[in-house]
Amino acid sequence: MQANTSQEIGRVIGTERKPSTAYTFQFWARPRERIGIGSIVRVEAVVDDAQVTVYGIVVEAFAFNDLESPLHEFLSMGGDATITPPTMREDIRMFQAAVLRREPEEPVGAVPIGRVYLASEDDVQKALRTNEFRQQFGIACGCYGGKDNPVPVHLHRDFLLGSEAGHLNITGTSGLAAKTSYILFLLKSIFTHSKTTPGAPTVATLLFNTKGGDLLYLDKEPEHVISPDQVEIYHRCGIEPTPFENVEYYAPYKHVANGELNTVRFGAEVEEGNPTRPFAFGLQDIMDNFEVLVGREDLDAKAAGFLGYLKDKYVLAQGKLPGSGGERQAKTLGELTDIIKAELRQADNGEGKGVQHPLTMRKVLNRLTNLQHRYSGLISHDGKTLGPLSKRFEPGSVVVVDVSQLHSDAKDLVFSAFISQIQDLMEDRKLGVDRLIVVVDELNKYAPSGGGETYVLSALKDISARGRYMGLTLFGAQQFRSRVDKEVVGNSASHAFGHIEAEELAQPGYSYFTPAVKEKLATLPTGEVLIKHPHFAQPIFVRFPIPPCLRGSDGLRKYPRAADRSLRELVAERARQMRGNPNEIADLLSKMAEDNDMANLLRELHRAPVDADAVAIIRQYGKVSVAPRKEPRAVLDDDVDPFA
Amino acid sequence: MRYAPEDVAAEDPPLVEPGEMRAIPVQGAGGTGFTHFMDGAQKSVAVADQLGFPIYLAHTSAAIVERVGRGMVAPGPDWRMEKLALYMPGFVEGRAAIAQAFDVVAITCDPEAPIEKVRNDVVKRISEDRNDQEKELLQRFDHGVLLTDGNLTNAKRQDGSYKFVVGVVKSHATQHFRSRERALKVLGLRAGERTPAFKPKVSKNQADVYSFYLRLQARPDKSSLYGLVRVELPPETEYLNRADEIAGWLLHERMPTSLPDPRHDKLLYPIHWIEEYLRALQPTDGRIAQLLG
Repeated sequence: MQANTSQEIGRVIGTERKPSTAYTFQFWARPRERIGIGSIVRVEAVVDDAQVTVYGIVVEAFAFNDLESPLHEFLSMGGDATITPPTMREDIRMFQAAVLRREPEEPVGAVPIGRVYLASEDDVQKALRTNEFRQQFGIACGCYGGKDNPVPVHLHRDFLLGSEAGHLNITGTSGLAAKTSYILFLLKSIFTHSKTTPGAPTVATLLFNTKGGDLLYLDKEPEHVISPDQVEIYHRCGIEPTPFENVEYYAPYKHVANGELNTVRFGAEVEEGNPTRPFAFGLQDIMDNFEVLVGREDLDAKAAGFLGYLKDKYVLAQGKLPGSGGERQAKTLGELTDIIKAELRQADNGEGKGVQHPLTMRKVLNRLTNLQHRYSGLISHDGKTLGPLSKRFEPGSVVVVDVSQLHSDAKDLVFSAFISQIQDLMEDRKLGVDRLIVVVDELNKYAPSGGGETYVLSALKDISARGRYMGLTLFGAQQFRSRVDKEVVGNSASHAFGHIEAEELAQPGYSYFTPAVKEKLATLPTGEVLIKHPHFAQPIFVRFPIPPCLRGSDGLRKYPRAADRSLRELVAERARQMRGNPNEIADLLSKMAEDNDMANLLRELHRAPVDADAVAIIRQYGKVSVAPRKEPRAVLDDDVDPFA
Repeated sequence: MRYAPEDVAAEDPPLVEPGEMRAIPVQGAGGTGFTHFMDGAQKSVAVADQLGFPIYLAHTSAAIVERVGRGMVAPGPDWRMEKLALYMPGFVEGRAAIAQAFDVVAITCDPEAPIEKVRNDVVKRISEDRNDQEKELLQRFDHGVLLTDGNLTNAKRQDGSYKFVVGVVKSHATQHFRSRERALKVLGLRAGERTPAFKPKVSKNQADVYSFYLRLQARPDKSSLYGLVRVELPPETEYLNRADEIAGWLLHERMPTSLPDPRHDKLLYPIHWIEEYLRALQPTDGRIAQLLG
């Protein structure tokens, strides 16, 4: 296929049994033509002296020969399969196509019997209507066509990021569909568009690294070779195949008492110039996400009421303790449990009327106490929220939250807390960018269909329904689309489908695909997806390249996690990544006593920006007092002139 | 096929291969040398009677098709002929309104002749046109080895020469061997057997050829003519010497069969292919009705 020339390949067939309709038609093509499921064709016909052009996409393929009965072929060969007859039976390749577009648009009549051409680049853009918006609103989502001439396909920005429509949902088998790779390619494309298109909205993205190191080396040069074919796709899409810029990585602590971060992205080499930052939840986050922390079934109405009471009285404000306890405000979990104990003592002593039954209070106390142990690395020691959401997002920034080392419940907490906080930022219009893309994998888990209404599901539903108006775009991914809440899926305007298992494809949600398209999806190679978008009358198969950054597996091999180090070593390493004279830093640290609060110092170093003065922080939090310089002790008698 | 009640061997055509009339098992049916194939077709519809005289709309066509590798290749315009025309008696031409919309072939007929005679003249002309198309293509054929459906009358050049052409005659309207012994030899051929070549007696319009009978297929439940064809070769020694080889080619061409065509016992697949091809060129009944308004 040449860029802008069309190759004639066949003719439309309309028989009485299988006529052309307004939306489908059939055509034959020569067997040698490179045409198959997903190919785009153009039909040209003259109807009543008027030129009619119809664009279609192949959705089914047929082949048959002049046999009426299989028995004829058997008889023909005398039952001997080894015989090669001198003449091949005539056979035909026939295709069924779905109409993408017609010119003129009206009247919408049956597709005429016309000549069929393989679509040129211009044809593809007209068929998908991308010619109408590509320049100003087009975000490349991959390339249509073969490796010899990839044609870029664009999604409409306002229908991908909002506000006309919004959100993307991607389905694919884990490990085969390359959901993450496709999302990274699309993000790269979105950032390129945002940077190079006048008037484009500012964009940032938040990703959760849930397993391995897939998203932990986005700013590192790849070790794999990006083939010329793939470079060509980048080129045709107008994207530089370079690693992401402006990436921030966040990880929880291993334990709140220990300043070490719980991530595999750890070590001087991998963190050089871009250290992993800590995140932790404050008391208010815990109160907001208590349902997730303790389990919905464990949080009955009484306990929820008591928590609400505690939050209103002691967390958000300063409340008076029962009896003569004075006024208290809880800033940390420990302080809150102390308050509950005081309330409980009061209730046990029968002094005054308890807010709740003591058993309920004990239950809440018990659960909160457990949290400190169960989520020790996630809960801030001083009650303050720490992490990416404590500041506004910067345009063009990529924020990766690494939860890969956390257990399942802790991941739920992180996800729930982030979603709820983002929802708040969205409501308050404090995201900092015009569009924030939140990438959520495993929607099966967080927004299941047929399950109860969880807090996370409710938040995801709200974001999917209203986020596009408020600058928040959801890129959701899952293995089983049929098991994701219909509202969350349905509110996505754009959909991508990678390799999908046949069992999943048998679900009713895929019934609008023809059997051939389903078959292709069931065997789709990595690097290809089916895209459904409001501007496309039919889904389109596109190819996309491998991400231009270090793969997770390569990163883990290249930057193996260092052996556990002492707190002092961790502090020294973190300080060296910051501003300050290395010799002075080393000198200060060497003078610190072993009983210095190294964990506290490490947390403060983590909390500070990378360009902060490490020396100043060490002096302040390490409580290092540099003693006055002592005069060197005289080794010689004053009255003895050594040079005499 | 009938045989004479008495021995009339003297009236049988002479054998041109040595030996007696006999069944010769064909050797070497493992390949084929045919590169091209030819057939013609016609379709006619009585569209109107003008004063009781017949008018036909007829489509005639012929094609030589090359086989490349194992695939039949649709012919280009040089190797395909077709014609759509109204055939009518010349004396009604000026009075037939329908004649304005088509090419007209006016046939010289006697206006006083019986209508059936006029009708036969018109139908005969349609066949002659198709025959002319076949002849023109056969005369044009200049390379390869051609297998044509029917006799070789049209293949003979002005100078009496032939290109490498072999004809297969499926019908047995003419009984060449009338003697009982020889007729029984022909009818008794088993699949893969042929007779010695002979020189058929021909009319003045027909070309001299060499010929032999060949049994392509045989089935005990079928008639003695099942699978029996008569092969025509140019009357030259070279072809005579290669008669067995050519018979082997034809046996090899039995696959694939042209089922479900009822003539599949004699109709070789490449010829069937051309028939289907030419049929596709013919206007459908719906198209004819549309053309006739």
